[in-house]
Order: sequence, then structure tokens, then C-alpha cells
Amino acid sequence: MKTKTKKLIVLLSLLILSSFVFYSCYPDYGLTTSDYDTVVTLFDSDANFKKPTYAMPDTVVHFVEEGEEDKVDRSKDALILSTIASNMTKKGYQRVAVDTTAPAPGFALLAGVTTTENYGTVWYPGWGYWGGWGWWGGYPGWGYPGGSVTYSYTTGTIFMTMLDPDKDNIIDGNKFGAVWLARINGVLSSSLNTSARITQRINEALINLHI
Amino acid sequence: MKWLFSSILILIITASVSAQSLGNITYNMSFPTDNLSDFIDKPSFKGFGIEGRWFSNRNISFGLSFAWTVYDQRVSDPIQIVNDVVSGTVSGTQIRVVNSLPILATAHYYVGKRRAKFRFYFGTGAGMYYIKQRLEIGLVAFESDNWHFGVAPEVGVLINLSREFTMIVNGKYNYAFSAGEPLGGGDDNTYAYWGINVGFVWQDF
Repeated sequence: MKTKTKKLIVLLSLLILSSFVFYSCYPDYGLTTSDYDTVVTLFDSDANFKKPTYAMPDTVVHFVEEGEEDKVDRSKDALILSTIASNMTKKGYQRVAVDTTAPAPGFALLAGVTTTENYGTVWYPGWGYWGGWGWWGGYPGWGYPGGSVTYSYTTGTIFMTMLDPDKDNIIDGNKFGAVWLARINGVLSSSLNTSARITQRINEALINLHI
Repeated sequence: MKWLFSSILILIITASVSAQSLGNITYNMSFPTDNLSDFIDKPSFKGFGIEGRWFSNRNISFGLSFAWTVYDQRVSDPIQIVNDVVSGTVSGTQIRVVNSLPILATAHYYVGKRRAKFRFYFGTGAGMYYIKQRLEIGLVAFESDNWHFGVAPEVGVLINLSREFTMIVNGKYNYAFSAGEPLGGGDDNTYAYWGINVGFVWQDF
């Protein structure tokens, strides 16, 4: 093969390879806010979920750092409680009043919420310095310096815990043991779909409550 | 890591233009099997390979090859957690990615004449695979990367379309032995995939 042809192929190979060097190995699937929602459910394999009654307080517990003011938005609390209640009814459970003087219900179901502020910084390189015009010392040229962008986003987490009065808590024997729990996490946005996402994810979590 | 791969690429390209040698660059299509197909079952059409071969005689060559294959898949199926005491489910949009970069020493045997229109060969490669496995779910990402020892038996054909232009087509089975731990835990961290590679060749007649 002629040397000139070899060199041409080598050069072409280098050009093709250089494109692969900068090729992203992590694809972008165009994920939306709701794609970052996760639902985790765990349950005790030995638990008896066939007891027909449960009690749930009318309040959603807000988890905040000790000494911090509770700034968690309460506008979704009623939605959370009503969605949980409707799902439990569909599964055949009967809700009873929270009454410590009455016989214990089959389960106690607690709902809680917390939010977290997340921050990050992205660094970007600047453009190269341009040397300016010619020998007579004209325009000196300019460059664009690199810099950084700080971003923040808020995530919300909904906790649901089902306690069994017949099961001892493994940490504190004076408390009920947890037999089922769910954790729903997602990015909070100002868009109107937050309520729809909360409803959908609570429905998903309670589908995984196997009677 | 990039400097290592870049150095290997430059070595392959520059050395392959010497006498009694050939170099090739291929577009690689890969199909996962075994453990890899449990994680990602979609074929990869994002791969390339580059290789340099030096002939010790008319029918035998030894060489060095480098390749890069990317598997990726979006999965919506929940992950089941199965345990004697606690079981559960993790639901959310998952992005699964595997990058495989084999660096192999190769040996090939060629049948037929060097200037034949179709010159078949078979051979194998052995060396190291750098494999990075990544799982993104929700706002969390899990990653595991390891160097594996691996082998890659291969059959192929050189198609001499003209004195100046030769193509290569080959089928290769890549097998990376277990090393480290996979993301899901356990002892078996082997990776295996089939490849069909097509490209062009520069060689010295």
C-alpha cells in the first residue's frame, strides 16, 4: 500500500477515534422530574397482614432537625392522609378511631414527611485567550474566563409505617414493632403535577402491601 | 485512565503502518449474554475497536487490540428484594449502563494466500477488561468498576476489494472472568458478550 494512502487512513482513524474520546458514555434519556421519584417498600416476611382494622392519626408528622423551625409545607397533608385511607379501604381494612382506652386495632399506620435542600456546583472551562491584532499593537484580544454555576433543588420524602401491637419493637420492647414501611422520595417542584405524583406514588407503595 | 487508553491507541496506529503488518479499525455491534443480559438485555450499537497485527510469517500474526463498547438501557420494572426476614420492592426509573474496554494481546492464523479476495482467519485475544457498571435510580447512582482478566476467541475474514482497500468482518466472543463484586452483590461478576465487527484495514502488501 502506498505510504500516502497509509497516512491518509491513519489520519482518518485518528479523526474517528478523537470523536469517540469525547463521546459520552452516559446517555441522556431526557428524564423529567417525575422520573426521579422512587418508592421503596419493605415488609416483615413473618407478619400477619390479615387483621381487619387499623388506626391512623389525623396528622402527618413533620420530621425536622432538633431546634429547627418546622417549615415543611402542610398543604399536601390532607391529600396524603386521604390517599392512604382510600387505598386501605380498597384493600378491605376498616379504619377505627385512635383511642388508647379501646382495644388495640390490628395495626397503627403512621405518616410522616420531611424535606431536604440540596446544593451543588458545576465548573465550566472558559474560552481560550485570543492574541489580538498585529504588530502595531492593535486590539489586545480577549478571552472568556471559566467559572461555576451553583444549583439547588428540594427533595421531599413521605414515610409510611405500619406497626403491629402484637409484635415487639426490636429496639424498645415497650413499643410496637414495624411490619411494613414505605419511603417515597422525589424532587419537589412548583409545577401542578406534585399532587398527582404524591397520589400516584402512595398508590404504588400500597399496592406492595400484600395481604 | 484516558492517558493509558490514548497511549495504547497511538501505539497501535503508528506501529501498524510498518512492514509485514496490518491495522484495522472496526465498528462493533455487541449482544450481551449471561450475567450481563440479566442487567441489560438490549444489544449495543455503540462500540468501536482498533487493532495492530504483526506477521511472524505468512500465516501467523501477533498483535494488540483495544475496544470500547457501551451498553445502556432504561428500565421501569421494580427491583425485588428477597430475604428470609425482610423483603420488599424498589420502584423508580432506572438507567443502567455498562462500559467495557478490553485491552488484549492477540494471535491469529490465516488460511489461503495473502492477496486472495477472501482471506479467512481465526485466533484469540487475552488480556484485561476494564468494566464499569452503573445503576441510576431516582436521585441515587450506584457504580462498580473492576479490571477483569478475559479472553476473546475470534473468527473473521479479510476482504481485499482492491490493492488499496481491504475490509474486515469478524465475530468475537468476549468473556471477562469474575473480579470484584457486582452491584447487586454476590460472588459472580463475570461479563460475556458476542460481537459482530465490521471495518477497514490498512496493510503492507
